[in-house]
Amino acid sequence: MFYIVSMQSRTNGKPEPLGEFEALVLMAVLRLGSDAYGMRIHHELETTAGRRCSLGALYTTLDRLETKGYVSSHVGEPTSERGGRAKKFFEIRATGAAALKQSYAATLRMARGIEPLLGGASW
Amino acid sequence: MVAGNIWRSRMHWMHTLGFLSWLGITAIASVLAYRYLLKEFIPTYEKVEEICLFLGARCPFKTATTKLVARAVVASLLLCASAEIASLLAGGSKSTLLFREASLIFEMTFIGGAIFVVRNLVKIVHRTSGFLDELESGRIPQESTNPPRWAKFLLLLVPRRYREHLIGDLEEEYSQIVLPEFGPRRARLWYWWQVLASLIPLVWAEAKRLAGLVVIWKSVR
Repeated sequence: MFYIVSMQSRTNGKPEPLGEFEALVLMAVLRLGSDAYGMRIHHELETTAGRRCSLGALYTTLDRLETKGYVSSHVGEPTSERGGRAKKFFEIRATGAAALKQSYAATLRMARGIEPLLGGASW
Repeated sequence: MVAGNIWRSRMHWMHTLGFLSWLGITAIASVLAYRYLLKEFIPTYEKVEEICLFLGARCPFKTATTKLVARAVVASLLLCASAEIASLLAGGSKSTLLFREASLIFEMTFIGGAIFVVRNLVKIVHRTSGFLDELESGRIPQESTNPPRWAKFLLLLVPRRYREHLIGDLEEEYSQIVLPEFGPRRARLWYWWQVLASLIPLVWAEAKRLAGLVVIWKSVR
C-alpha cells in the first residue's frame, strides 16, 4: 500500500524536486562526465562548490538519486591505487537532467530581482 | 466447583493456544527480521575471520562443528527471544521456562566470548606491545603512511553494498590527494574523520531502507 502511495506521488508528470545537495551532486556528475566516480565527485564538490561532506553522505545521496532514476551506475575495473578495488561510475539520465533543469530554473526565477540585496551579480 | 474447574481448564487451554499462536507469529517475524534486517549488522564468519586476522588471533569458526554450534546458538537465541515476546503478548509472566533457558544461553554465550578473549589476550597484548616498541625505538613504522588500521577495521560496519567502492575511494583520495598535500599525521586524522562521518549516514540509510521507513515517511508526508 505504501509502495502504491509513493509511486502515485511520483507519477504525477513532474520529476521529484531536488534538494540542494542533490542538485550539487548532479551538477558534479555532469561536470565530470565519464570520469564521475565517488572520489572525483567528492573532490569536485569540495574544490568547486566549497561543500565539505563525508564520502558516506555522498554515497547515500547518489544511492537516493539512483533510486529516483536520476543517475545510473556501472562498476569499472579494479585498480592498484585503490588497493585492487573497483570504481563505481555514475552517469546522469534524462530524468535527472530534467529535474536539475527544473530546480535550476526555479532558483533563477526566485533570484531574479533580488541580486542587489545579495551583493550584486558576483555571488 | 466442577464448572469452575472446567472453566479454568478451558482458560488454560485457550491461554496455551494463544501462546502457541503468538510463538508462531513471533518466530516467523524473528526469522524474517534476521534474514532481511539484522544479517547486515550481525558479525558473519567472514567478518569474525577478518577481525581475528587483524588481531593476530585464532579464529574460533575454523571447523564445520564450531560453525554449526554458532549457528545453533543464534537459532536458539532467536527462538528464546520469540518465546519471550510471545509469552508477554499472550499475557504471561516473565518467569517462563523458555525465558530461563534463554537467560542460560545468553550467559553461556557471554562466558564463551570471555574465554575466547582471555585465550587470545596474550597475542593481542604482544601485538600491541610490539607496535609500541617500534614507536619508542624511534623507527618510523611502515604503517605511518598507510591509512589507520583501526579506522579500516571500523569500515567493516559499512553495509556491504557500499563497502568496496567507499573503501577504494577513501584509499585513493588518502594516498593521492590528502597525504601528499597535508602529510601523514593530518592525512590520518582526515581518514579517521571520513570513516566516522561516513558511518552514521550509511548505517542509518541502510537501516531505513531495510525497515521500509523511507516509503512510510513519504506516504505520511
